[in-house]
Formats: sequence, C-alpha cells, structure tokens
Amino acid sequence: MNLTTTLTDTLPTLARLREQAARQAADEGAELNAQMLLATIVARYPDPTDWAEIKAETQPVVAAYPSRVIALVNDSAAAQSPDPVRVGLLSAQRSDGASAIRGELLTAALQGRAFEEGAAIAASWSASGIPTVVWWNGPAVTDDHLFEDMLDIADRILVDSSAMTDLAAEFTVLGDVVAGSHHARVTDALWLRLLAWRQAFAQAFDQPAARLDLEHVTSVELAVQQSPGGQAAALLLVGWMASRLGWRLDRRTTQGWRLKSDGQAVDVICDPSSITNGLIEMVRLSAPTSRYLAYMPSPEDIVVDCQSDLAPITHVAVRRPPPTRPRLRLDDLLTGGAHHHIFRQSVAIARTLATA
Amino acid sequence: MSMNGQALDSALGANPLREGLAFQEAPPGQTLIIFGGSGDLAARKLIPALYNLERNALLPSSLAVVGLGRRPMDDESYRARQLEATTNFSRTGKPDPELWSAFQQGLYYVRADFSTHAGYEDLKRELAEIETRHGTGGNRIFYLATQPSLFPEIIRLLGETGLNRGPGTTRIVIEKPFGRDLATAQDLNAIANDVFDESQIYRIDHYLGKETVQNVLVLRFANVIFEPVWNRRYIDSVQITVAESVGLEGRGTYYEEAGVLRDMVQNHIMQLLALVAMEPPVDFQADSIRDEKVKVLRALRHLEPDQVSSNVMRASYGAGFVDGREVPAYRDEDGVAPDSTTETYFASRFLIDNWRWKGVPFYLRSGKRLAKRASEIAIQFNEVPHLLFGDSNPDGVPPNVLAMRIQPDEGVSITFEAKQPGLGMRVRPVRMDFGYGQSFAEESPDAYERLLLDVMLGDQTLFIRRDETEAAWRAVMPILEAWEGDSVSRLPTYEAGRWGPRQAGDLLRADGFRWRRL
Repeated sequence: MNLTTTLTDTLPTLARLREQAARQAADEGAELNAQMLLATIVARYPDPTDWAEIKAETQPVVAAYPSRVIALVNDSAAAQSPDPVRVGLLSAQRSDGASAIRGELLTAALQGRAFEEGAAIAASWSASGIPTVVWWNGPAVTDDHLFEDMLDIADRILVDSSAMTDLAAEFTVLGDVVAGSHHARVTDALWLRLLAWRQAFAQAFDQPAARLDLEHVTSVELAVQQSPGGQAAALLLVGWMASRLGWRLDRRTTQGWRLKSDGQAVDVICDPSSITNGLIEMVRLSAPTSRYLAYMPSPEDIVVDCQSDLAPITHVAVRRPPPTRPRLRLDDLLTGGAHHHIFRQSVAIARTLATA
Repeated sequence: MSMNGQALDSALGANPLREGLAFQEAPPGQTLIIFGGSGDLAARKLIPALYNLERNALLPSSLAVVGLGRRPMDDESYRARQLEATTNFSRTGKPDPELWSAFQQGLYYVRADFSTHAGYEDLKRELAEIETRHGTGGNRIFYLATQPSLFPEIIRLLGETGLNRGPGTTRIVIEKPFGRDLATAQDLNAIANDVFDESQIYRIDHYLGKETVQNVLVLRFANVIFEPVWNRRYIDSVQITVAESVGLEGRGTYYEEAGVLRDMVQNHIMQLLALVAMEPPVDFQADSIRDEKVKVLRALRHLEPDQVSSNVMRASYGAGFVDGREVPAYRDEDGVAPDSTTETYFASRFLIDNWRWKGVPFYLRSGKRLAKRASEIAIQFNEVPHLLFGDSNPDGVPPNVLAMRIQPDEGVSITFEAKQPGLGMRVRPVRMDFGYGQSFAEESPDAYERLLLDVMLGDQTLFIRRDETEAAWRAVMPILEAWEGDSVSRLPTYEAGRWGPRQAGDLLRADGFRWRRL
C-alpha cells in the first residue's frame, strides 16, 4: 500500500495511510502492530532508484528494526513530477506467521539544490524522540554539503569506506568525524567486512606462544584489489594492526610504508591483486623466524597458516560473515561501531598512511 | 621447562589483537567432544542447536564435533542418525540439504569406553587427527551429556590422561543435576576443581539460556524506572512459577530419584529467584553477576525443621485430563513405585534476609501435569497507602503487578489502575503489554544455541559457578532433610490438569495473597 503526494503533504498522507491500514486490519479481524518505531533511517540514493528497489532493500532492515525510512533520491527527472513523494507502509512476517506493519517508507525524488538540501527534508520528516540513523549510500565520504548537514541530524551515520575514491581526502574527513568533531557516531561497512580478517589474526595469536612473534614482526605484505576500495581495505586493516601493536608511521616507501615499533622497522607492502570476489586476497605477517599467511580458500572462509617454531597450531580458520550489503541488517551496523576507540584509532592511522 | 597454554597465556597477558572481537559472536575454531554423543540430549538438543548456529553462520568453519559413545557405530551412521534427530527436533524443521551436507562433514563418532585409560588414549589420537584435518586451533570443549553418575569418573580420567590441558583452550560443560544434595554436589565440585580450573568449568542450566530469563537482567538494569522501586518499600511479594503440563516423558526412573525439588527448584527456580533479587552487579562480567547471585542465595533464610511443614507444600498428581486426554496418576506411571512418595508438585515461601528484601515473601511453585505450561515471575507491589477513590471503589483497588512471562507467550506486562470511562470515578485495572513475538520479528534462538555459543566464546555469564550451586543446595537442604525424616506413606494428590493441591493456596492465604491465575 503506497500513495504519491507532495513534499508539504507528506506527513498528513502518512497519517491517512496508517488510519486506512488500521481500519482494514479491524475489518479483517487482524491485529495492527502498534509497535513504536525505534529509529528514523535516512537513506541517501545518489542515483535514480525506483520505489520497488528501495522497498526491497529496506524491508529486511525494518523487519528486524521497526523504523521510519526516509529515502532521498537524486533524480534529474524529479522536476517534472508534481508528486515527487511516495509514502507507504512496510510489513513483515512475525515469528508467529502473522503479517504486521513494521515501518514506514517515505521516498522523495529530488534534483540539484533540492537534493543537496535534503537534510532539511529529512529533519522535518524524522519521527520525534527516537534516534536518526543516516545511511550514506553510494560514493563514500566527501567534503560535501549534504554530508555535513547529515552529520548534524544523525545520531549515527553508516558509511562504506570501500566506496572511497580519494583516499587521502576521504580518510581525513572520516578521521575528523570519528574523532568526535560531530555528535554522530560512525559505523563503517568496510570495517565490518574486515571483521573476519581481524578475527583470523586474533585467532592465530590466541595461541599464547605465538604471541611472542607479534613483538618481532618485520613486514606486513598485502595483496589487494587494484582499486581505491582495495587500498582503503588495506589501510584500515594495517591501521587496525598498527593501533593494536603500537606501530607508528616512520615514512612512505616505494612499495608502501615503513612503520616503527620500539625502534624496530615494520615494512608494509601493498601488492595489486586481480581478486574479484573481495578486496583482500592475502595478508602475510613475517618475523625473523616465523610467517603467518592469511588468505581466502573460499568466499566463506579465511584461514591463517602459521609457520613458527613458537606456535604449536599451524592452521586456523575463521568463517567470513556474509557481505553487509545487500543483506544489510541495521542491528549489525548499529552495533558494529562498538569498541569505537579501536575503530577510531584504526582510522586515525589509516588517515596518516593515506596522507603520508 | 614447558609451560602449558593457560600458564603461558597468563604470563604473556591478553592477546592485543583480540580486544573488541569477543563481542562479535565469532568463536574461534573448536572441537566439541560429547560424552554421551549417541544419547538423547545430543540428538534432541545439542546437534540441532549446532546446526541452527551453523544456519545462522555463527559457528567457526573450523568446528569438529566428536560424539563419544559405547554403541558401535561408524561416522556415516552417526551422521544419518543425527540428521534424522535434527529433522525431528530442530526448531527450524528439516535441515537444508546443502547446508547439512557441509555441516555433517565435521561430525564424527568415536566408540569409547569412558571408564578406562585406554578409551581416553584412543580419544587423544583421534582428536590429534581431527584437529589437524579441521584446523581447530587445538581448542577443545568436553561436554558431559551422560548419566550424571558417570561425571566424576570421566572428569578424573580426563585429568589423569592429560586431556584437561590441551594445546589450545580446554573447557568442560557439566549438565545438571549438579549432585543430588549438598554433599554430592560438593564431591562433584571437588573432583571438577581438582582437574580443571573454575574458569574452564561451565555448569549448564539451560534455563539461563532462555531469552526471557536474560531479559530479567535487562529489564532491571537497562531501565531506570524499575530499580528505585525494586525493594521491600514498594514490593509486597514475589511469585515465581514454573509449571509443566507434561508428565514424565519416559523419565520415570530418573524422576523417582529426583522429584520436582531437585529437578526444577534447586536449579531453575533458584536461578530465577537470584536474578530477580540480586543487587546490581558492578559490570556485566561473568563473575560480577555470579558474585551477586551467590550473595542472594546465601541470604535465603534456611528453614528450621519445624518450619518446613508450614512453609512448604508437596504433592503428587493423581489421574486426570490434560489437553483433553486422560492421563494416569503419578504412581501408575512407568518406572514409578506404586507406593512412591516422590513429589511432583512443590510450593514454598522463602524469605531473604538482607536490606532489600527483608520481610518480602518469595512464593515459589513448580509441578508436573498442571493445567498448562507456563513460567512467570510476578512482582506484586504494595497497595496505595491511602485510597482517594474509596467511595466509588469500596473494595479497594488491586495492587500493581509486573509480570515477566518466561514461556510461552514471552513478554512483560504491567497492570495498573485507570479511570473507567463514565461520569463516576470508578477505577479499573488495565494492562500494558510487551510481547516478544509482536515486538521482534525474529524467532528467539533455542537456549542451547546461546549457551553452546557462549562456551565457544568463553563467556561464563550464563553458567553456574561452584559456590552458586552449593548455596542453592544449602537453601533447600533443610526441606530435603525434613522430608527424609518424615515417615509419610502417601503425599497429598492433585488432579492432573489442575493448578495443584488446594492446600498450596493456604501458604499464601495466611499472608493475605493468592496464587496468580496463569
């Protein structure tokens, strides 16, 4: 059930739609789920996207997390439409099999300046008293007007660093945001995708004896997709390792970077890879008498082969979680920013490396 | 001198790469070794729970499960048997063929004699091979799902053959009952703690894995509106009910030895009581929570022998109708002695001697073959000190009740008074209700799914510590001792399908209360 309307008549139209649904539910003897909304989700679509596609993408999110979804769609044909807004209700099947309304979807097709000022529309349509989550969909963080405005209305902003195109500029912006210059907290989908790599290395060094090797790492070699996304993944993963192990940037090198830990050099080398089903093909940590090689034998798994006199276990494997999109789950994204300080430190080092 | 994994772990400090990852529900590789792997618990609960974890991509890909049993069987037969069991007992129904095919490759069966060193040496060899094949990281979980009488010997032999200290982490899961009285619980704990460190021991009470039980903590400590009134100044009484409509389900022999006090009260109900009555823990670490639970259990007032009969009611069910079906009396069930005096119903009044709860009665009841399956914690608040609307409501107004429904229809409701529409000032109770099923579209995981995952993650929060189980036994021992000294030849009976013996109401009536209708 959805209706088209104008920008000014959106909320009254939504109210009418809800009343209509309530009456229909009463007529059918069904129960209208009166569950309060838990969040407003503002999703940015930088390219024309139709109602059905937005609905398909947001419905699973709303099913798990009752929300009002406001989709701001950049559409150069919007000016021709007298009713650029469409509102509808989103329902989902409950665990008892019954269908229940779980949320609301409001889409606005906007063009030019109107799209750039979309935060004002989102602010006026947001449900009061609940958090606003901005889903910065599409090309990554840039120093653009809409992003700045969105930071002001958001309690949390979801970004995807793998969509970055200018790593130095965008990691600088991201670094400022996560450093706390805004009220909004950040969840990065790329950070979540790197979880399995982080988990794999953590698991390899869960062996107490192997942990001694961490103090003597001399190089980190990565094979990453030849794209800004691959580079962003490498920077964030190295940023994470460096933050955990106390490595600091010494200088840029021809193949990557030299970091230092207690005076000891750690060379980070980034090699291009032709990998297509991910961003990172392999990561190898080397110490004088040991090597830890992490790679993906299948799209679902990451394994670490440990060659060390100290590590009794030679092979550990970790399940790679499903990609964040299209199976986006808001609760994953919302809690993905937990341990924010680790993410913040990782981004700070990634930024230092990107701008070196 | 070689150091084992655990000693080296503590010498080196925490893994710096691990920080922040434990909360991502991605456990490291494991081998789960199930003693009693061909038994009922494995088939009905453990394997279906593991499969559902796999279905939700929550298991490590490097997981191997080794079922240990005495029956002769090869891996293929074991896998086929577990597929059938998972089809029958999994909450998600028939397994997806492709997913099961991948999952079952990690399932093994080892025929072993649990009572000899040789059996454990065989197991060691098998484990070394399986761990290499699956890359489990040498992490092991021993799950005791055998008859409880075998626990001490298995634990001892695990220690004697060095299996208590493996190449990675080693943990042991012990199923309830933890002993059949305080002395046997202490004996079992002594053996377990002799062989394993307490941090390796996971005493499992599946009740704590239920979503709604964990929600008791969330309700109390993630909301500011309840805790200020959560004490003797505002609460009149607490009722905890764990009612079952089922009978013995083929466990007559076990039940004859146990009775409802050992089967439900000493563990499940005492845990619920502890969660309701505990002080706020300083953090959500396992030991912080368990410290507070132990304090409450230690503060339970122990009954004197002459107080048992006036504070405790026991009975056994007679014949009756449940769900429209005629059912026999307890004494006529298979495996039950015709002159049995085992209780199938228990009701009691407990008091907690601490600042928060002094004088507030905690009424506990549990039974089999009751009117329906229902578990609930109900907090009844005091009556208003002065009734302004007495003229229109000569009988007064009922007190507020906060009810936490554990199962079924999981949720929380608050009953409060509202003005009845009309010109007068009539007051009527209304209910504000939160239902899990309505509010969350997702189905809750089975308790074993949560608990198995927690063992793999090394989180002991929902497991029972040694002192907790002993404190719970201490609280019920005066009752058991009084019953043992009692020469009754027949317990009072209640008709199956009803809410227990009429006399159970007397316990509350004397205090001006009555059992809630569920």
